[in-house]
Amino acid sequence: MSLRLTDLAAMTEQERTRALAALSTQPSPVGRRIRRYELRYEMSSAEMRRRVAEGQMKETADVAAWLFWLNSQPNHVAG
Amino acid sequence: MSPGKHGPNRLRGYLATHNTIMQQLLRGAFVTSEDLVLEPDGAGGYFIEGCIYCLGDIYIDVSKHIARIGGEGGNPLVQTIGYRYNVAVKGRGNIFRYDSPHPDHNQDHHLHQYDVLNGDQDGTVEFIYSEDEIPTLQEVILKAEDWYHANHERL
Repeated sequence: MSLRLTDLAAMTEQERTRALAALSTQPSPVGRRIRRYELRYEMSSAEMRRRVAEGQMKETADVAAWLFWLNSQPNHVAG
Repeated sequence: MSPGKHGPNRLRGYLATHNTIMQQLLRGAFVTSEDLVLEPDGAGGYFIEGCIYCLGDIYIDVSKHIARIGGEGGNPLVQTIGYRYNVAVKGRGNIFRYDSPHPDHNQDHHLHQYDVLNGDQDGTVEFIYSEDEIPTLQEVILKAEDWYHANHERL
């Protein structure tokens, strides 16, 4: 679930508060996005991180997006 | 991030500021449209995700993590804890990208810059150590606009 920011801006204060509260209880899209990258590149996120850290894989825009979603997980552990 | 231009803010204030800035930019000549959405992060916070479309087939891919650091419901206290702003020319490549720190490499805030009009796909990386130099989305858009004005005849 997502809300367009322009739609939010057009809401009344009451509608906006309700919509934001409802949105915050919805599941995160992060896991689905990470799985999509793993399928596309046919490797685990751990393998991607290792290859990038060792210079075997470039930090492209796509890889940077993958890393962003990995870092955004609540249980993300750095390093 | 420490307090300052990236400090904590109430969500509604944060979104109101964002909307005011985007409306100003959309009334200008450079930004033509945008499809940014708000998504849940599963922990009471949000992501801003989507694309801002500009002149010269330039587009800005935006991913921003606004974490809830206090409060409940529809107006929590939030703060940006991660971002990725990738500025590119459609069909040509990246111009520049600001990333928050990665876990295993480029572990500080950093800027990738590419000589896109000469086919550069590797680019250079410049680290950002000052809070003030970490850009807001508005600053990223204005930097992209500067690049456009300096290079539009070659696009």
